[in-house]
Amino acid sequence: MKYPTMTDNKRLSALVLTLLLCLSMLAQVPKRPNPPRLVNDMANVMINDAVLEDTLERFAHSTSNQICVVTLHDLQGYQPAEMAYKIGQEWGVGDKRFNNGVVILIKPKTPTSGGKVFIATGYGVEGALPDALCRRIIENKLIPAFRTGDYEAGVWDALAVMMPILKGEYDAEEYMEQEDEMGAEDIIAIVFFLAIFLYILYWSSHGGGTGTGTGGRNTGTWGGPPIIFTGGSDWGGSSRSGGFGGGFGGGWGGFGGGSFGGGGAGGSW
Amino acid sequence: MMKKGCLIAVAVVVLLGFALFGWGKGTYNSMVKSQEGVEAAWAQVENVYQRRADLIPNLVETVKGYAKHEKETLEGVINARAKATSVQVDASNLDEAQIKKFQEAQGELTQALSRLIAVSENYPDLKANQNFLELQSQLEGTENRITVERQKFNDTARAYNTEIRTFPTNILAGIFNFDRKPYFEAEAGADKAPKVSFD
Repeated sequence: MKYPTMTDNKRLSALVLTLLLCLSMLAQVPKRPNPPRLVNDMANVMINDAVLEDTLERFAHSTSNQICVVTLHDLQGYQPAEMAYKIGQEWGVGDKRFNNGVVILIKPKTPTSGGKVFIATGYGVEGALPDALCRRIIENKLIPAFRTGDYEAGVWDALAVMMPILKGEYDAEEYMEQEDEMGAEDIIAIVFFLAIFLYILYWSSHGGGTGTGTGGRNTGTWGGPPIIFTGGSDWGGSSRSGGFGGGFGGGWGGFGGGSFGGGGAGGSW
Repeated sequence: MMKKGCLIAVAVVVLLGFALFGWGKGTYNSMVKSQEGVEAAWAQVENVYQRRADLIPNLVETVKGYAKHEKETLEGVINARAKATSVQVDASNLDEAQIKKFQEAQGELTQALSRLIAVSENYPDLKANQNFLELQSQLEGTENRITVERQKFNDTARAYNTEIRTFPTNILAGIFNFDRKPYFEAEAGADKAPKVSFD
């Protein structure tokens, strides 16, 4: 009778151990948000994430591609890639039939730890967004913005690249070729911003001058130049336009059960 | 009286027969479906390993152009690749021995590849080569995919094993020879960085 109880005990402890292991593993991946949200700023690094959420929901609604942005302070010991896939898989980002989900996982830089980012692509978008493109987006769009602490701007810039590709407006190859030969566009952009800069300078000097002279009504108010602000991305073809009015009440239908197979790329800064 | 009792008995037996048939059919089909799932997961695992094997000839060619003196490392990769691709696994009869052999061969290739990547650190020209960088990032992507697909295979196999070993399904599983599927083991030392020697 001794031996059976020994093995029983062993079995029981093994069972308990596996259970504990399973529980701890489950506890590590953040729970799927309820109600479902595409922007999950758990690290609190975004100020205006409602606009981002709205844009992504509209995009999901019109194209069925779900891009999920997650910021986390703690990766719970996972590699960024692992965490991104687990989130994608367990939340079911993307449509179940097309597996067209994308997870952008950001671990912001803190004084004690480095910043990490990973773009995980679902099975269905591995072709549209190949690893090489994801790597480029990370190195050229996300990390430069993240270095300055502007997480939202980085994500917007990345989306300006990803969304048209996912929509099929052009493909990754075309984008990468175009980016390689962007000299001319850069110059135009620089001239454009220089013009705006000079414009502001002109206005502020003039406005200031007359303001102090007349006293009365104009004092102190600077008036400001009438700037028309457009998009703001540095690459043409951004699908972002003004007028993010409300009225779109969660019509994207929630996560669809998409599956992830290890596509994407990561980076750190 | 006798007739009526007989009739009831027959009816009960027929009903039981139907119920048993219904249960058996449902359970059997569900087991088949799970087994198919495990085989599909295995096919995915083989796919991603194949994807890695397909990258290697190109990688070796590129490195060869810059690092002629690393003949030994390069040959190590080529041999390990040949060995890994020669291991054939029968997905419908997956057992411990087969998966272990497969994993060992692929593990050797992983080691050989990480040695190659470590060696390439010594060649700045190689490291600046666009083609090499591209291949390296593809290799990284493939290793990611391997990790994910192995994990998925284990999850699918675990669900299947749980199903066939739970009462009363285990009775049917025993009758129709639904065997337990093996798992991928975490590789010993897989999390360690490759050794770099300076001699």
